[in-house]
Amino acid sequence: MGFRLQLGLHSKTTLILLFSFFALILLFSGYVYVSVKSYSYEDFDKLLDIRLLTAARAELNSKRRPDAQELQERFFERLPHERDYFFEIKQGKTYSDESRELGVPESFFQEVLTNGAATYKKNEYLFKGIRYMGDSGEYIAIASAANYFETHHTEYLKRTLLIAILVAFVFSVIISVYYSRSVFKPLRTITNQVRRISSESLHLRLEALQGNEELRELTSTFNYMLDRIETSFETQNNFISNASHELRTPLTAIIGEADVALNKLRTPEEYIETIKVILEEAESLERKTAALLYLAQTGFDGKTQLMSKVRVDQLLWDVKETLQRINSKYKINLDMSLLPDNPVKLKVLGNEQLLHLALSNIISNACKYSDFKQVEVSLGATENYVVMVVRDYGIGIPIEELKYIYDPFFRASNTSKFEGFGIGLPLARNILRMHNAKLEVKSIVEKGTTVQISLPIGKFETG
Amino acid sequence: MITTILFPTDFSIESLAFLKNVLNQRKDQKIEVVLAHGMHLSDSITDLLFFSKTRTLKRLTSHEFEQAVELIWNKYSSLLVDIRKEIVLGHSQEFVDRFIESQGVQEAYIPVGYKPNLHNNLSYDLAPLIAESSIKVHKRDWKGVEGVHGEAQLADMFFDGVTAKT
Repeated sequence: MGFRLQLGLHSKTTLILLFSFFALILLFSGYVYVSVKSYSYEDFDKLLDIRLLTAARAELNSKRRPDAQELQERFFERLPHERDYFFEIKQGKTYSDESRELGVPESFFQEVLTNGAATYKKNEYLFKGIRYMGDSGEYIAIASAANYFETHHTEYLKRTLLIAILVAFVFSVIISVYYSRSVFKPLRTITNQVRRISSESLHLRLEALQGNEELRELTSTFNYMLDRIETSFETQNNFISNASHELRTPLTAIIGEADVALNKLRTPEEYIETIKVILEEAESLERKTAALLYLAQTGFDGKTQLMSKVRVDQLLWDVKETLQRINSKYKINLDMSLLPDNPVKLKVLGNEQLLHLALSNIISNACKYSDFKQVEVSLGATENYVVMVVRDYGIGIPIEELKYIYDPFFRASNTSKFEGFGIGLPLARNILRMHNAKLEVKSIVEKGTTVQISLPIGKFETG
Repeated sequence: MITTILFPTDFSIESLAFLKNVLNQRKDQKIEVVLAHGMHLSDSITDLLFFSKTRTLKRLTSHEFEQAVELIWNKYSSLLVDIRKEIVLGHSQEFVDRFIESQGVQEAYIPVGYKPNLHNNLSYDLAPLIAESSIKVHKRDWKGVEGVHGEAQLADMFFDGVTAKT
């Protein structure tokens, strides 16, 4: 048990490879050995049959063919240690003496008598017996010979196979060790590289490995994961610094105002002025914390939101109306040119209030950052998604800052002259994520921004 | 009565914007759209052996293109019978004529002034051959959709100057 547990994957692979190779070699050699041996036996068996018949014919039918004996001597090669015996069959005769002389059991003779033929094997010797009708009566003809293959070739075959097994074994050891090493070497490299990466060195990446598809995929997946971890680490850091900055600005103003006011006795008008400023700043602080709270609530999906059937075109009209009521300078053009014929394609499963909030955030951003130029909002449906596109011709977002736009409190470098504190888009993103929607932002500085929202179409029983 | 209309396509969003533009003006009962892409057959014998129309189409079309087709399909679902994508594998007038015949195409629309974006070096612009064919060919001036943010994307389907008719 303990031994098994200590084995690494590397040694295990080596052993498994080795065992399977070895088992295959053994199986193969065993098969070769057995089949060669059985073939040689059958072959010899037939040969001896023929020899026996020829010898019997030559011996016992010599009167009919006087030259047969000579022919046999001349043309037929005798088998090694071949002996031929002929015994006349007489009624009531037991063949105990003969069998002792030949070294075969008596039952062999009995079998020849009853069945007409018998075979007996003794070490490398094979005995064959038949009943043969000669010129001068019936005989038991017996031929025995040593199986030459058995005596010589078997040893050779065994030796050859053994050497082959040894050589193949050595080769399989080399192959399995080399193979498992080449498979596990990159893994070890990856392990070593990963070890270097800590929370302080998140910028490090794994090197792409050459020529190994699976492991290259592993490293790229790992690198991708590191990308995300690094981004979220940065987001975390940015969030804290941004949030404290955002919350401190109004607080500093409040403290400063109060400090100045308390320096000396002032007129009631001055006090009123001071308190007004303080109130304004406190309200701004309140708005920020409220937004932050909302963000936190939508960010953690601890509690499930109430979802119902929402018609997206209706929702967009609502959003447009609400926004234009808040600020009459907003110019929003709803483009319904790709509105699907079938209204089923416009219904999504969602929380109307939250979706309203998310869309108004995105659309009001578009209005705000384009100096109240026209904003196009379009609606269409693909097979599985309702697609909304919000396009403005405003200031755009610098490309290198695109990846931070979902960070709370992040504001792009070109937004300083606009009011806002960077909660709207992260909030919208959280809401859309709750609805399994996709949010894509594409932008070019000074040209405009396109936000594409794909909400999954709801699967409802009836239209 | 179903009218089968042929559109040359380079599998870009822009070519679909043209299709949308045309569909917006058609008053037919039913329309069957054939999006045809001209392509030479490869010289490589292995490519020829393993050629598959489905696979080639899959390689040529992007996810955005498929989505844009779905957008149009949903928009004009009462007008459209089918939107087919076909590859014309031959660069000769006779071949294109035969293709038009076999597909049962009755009319064709060609965007004049649009330069197709042929990413694949085997692809060619089908429009001149269609223009020479015997069917009724409508030529429309088309300067293409200005992809506001670089290359035309799915979003550009919406902004091609076609006014809403809702």
